[in-house]
Amino acid sequence: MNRKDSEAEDLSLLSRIARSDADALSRLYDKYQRKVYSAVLQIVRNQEDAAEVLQDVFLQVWEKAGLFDGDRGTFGAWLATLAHNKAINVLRSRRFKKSALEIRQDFEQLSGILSAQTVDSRTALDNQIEDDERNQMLALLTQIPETQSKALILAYYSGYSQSEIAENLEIPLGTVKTRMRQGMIKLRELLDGR
Amino acid sequence: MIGTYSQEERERIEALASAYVLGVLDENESDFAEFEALLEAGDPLLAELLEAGFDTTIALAELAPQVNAPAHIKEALLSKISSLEMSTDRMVRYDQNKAPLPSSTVRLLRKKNRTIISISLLGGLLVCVLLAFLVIKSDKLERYSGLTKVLMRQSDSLKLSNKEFAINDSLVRCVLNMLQEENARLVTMTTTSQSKHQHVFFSPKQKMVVVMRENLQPIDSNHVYEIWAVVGNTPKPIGSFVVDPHDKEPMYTFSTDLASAEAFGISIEEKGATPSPKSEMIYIGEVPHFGKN
Repeated sequence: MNRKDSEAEDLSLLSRIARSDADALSRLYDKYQRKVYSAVLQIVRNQEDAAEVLQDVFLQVWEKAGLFDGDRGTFGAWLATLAHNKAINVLRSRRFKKSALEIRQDFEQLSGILSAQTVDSRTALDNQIEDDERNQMLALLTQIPETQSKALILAYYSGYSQSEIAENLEIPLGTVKTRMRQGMIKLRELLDGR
Repeated sequence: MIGTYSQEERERIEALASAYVLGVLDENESDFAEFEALLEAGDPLLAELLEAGFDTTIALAELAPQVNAPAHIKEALLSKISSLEMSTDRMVRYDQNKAPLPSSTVRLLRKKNRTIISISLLGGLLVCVLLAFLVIKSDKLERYSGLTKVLMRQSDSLKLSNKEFAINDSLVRCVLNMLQEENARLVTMTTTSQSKHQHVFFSPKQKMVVVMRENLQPIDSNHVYEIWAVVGNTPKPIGSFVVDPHDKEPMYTFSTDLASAEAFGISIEEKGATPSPKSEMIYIGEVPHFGKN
């Protein structure tokens, strides 16, 4: 299924969900649970929290499906941002419990995401496609200067503000901002050029 | 290309947009206020960058090592929604605090942008029309400008309240109408020392002369003020008036059949005497010539 067909399918399912069609929600869940759960788990680093966020996200989809407007953007972008926001909120709500050392370890672990492998060995075609997409993304990121790609990953997955990132990495805030800005621009260019 | 931004401005907005879509723009940071201000203003570059940024972050989300969610989550989800009572408003109500819809932000910005562009175009058109009008009617502008200043001074010197000034509204409108005419003139008269000013409006079309009260003070009961028009170097009487200390009459109107005049003046004459300049003019001023007139 190409991207356009996929987006059309999303809209169709959302339309049915808006009419309280639980089967449509089930299908949408099956389509996106892996991506959403994986991203959330990477952020919250806790299966219990990740499960709670995932369920919360799709409850939100169930309740707000009728308000989604395809002209605003893709469902995938909306879902990703919704999940990211919820995961970050969970992370920030418990951040105060972490020590400076733990924060440093977080950064180091997140920085290693570029070389991380999938943690399950499923070989179903859909999953293989998703893994291929991830590999493509990883390949794209290698074309961005490492300082910038790491800045993007840390920003997206750490849950820290840019000031906190600067403080913990012991680099100037302006440097962090510049790296994020330049990294986003380059990543966008690479995505557009695919 | 959206709008005109300096390199510095563009980089600044890019940094704010990037921080926002990455979720690192903390509400406690100063950048957040700047971001909100741009968002509120409907900055077009910010809108473009946010839209692109949200799409870009999907790529970041896909970087995470892929794992399936435990099966029990779906079961719990479906069980929960089946227990939820169908809410009649769930399709129309949107709780932004719980689920900020990023694309809606973009849409809002686009809507604002369209509005701003429309207003800008309309405003630009109005400015062009106004400028054209002012160029064509520059002589009238001079008169309006003078009138405004005179009326403001008049109001101040007499300490007129808004209500009191409104009572004279019809007269003010009359003066304004006079200034719509091609041949109407605002004449500034001065004392010999030029330390004080008085103004006269002259309308040949309406056959009217209006003297502003301004600096004219009450004089003894045996004398009156006389307003003169100088035509062919000869003073011609327009009319006499007294300034009542208890009255806040802002201006005095007189009828005239004069088609033109070279100057206007004010003298103090004996009350009841035949109008002729027995004393020198206390105020005198030439009638200005605007443009081709």
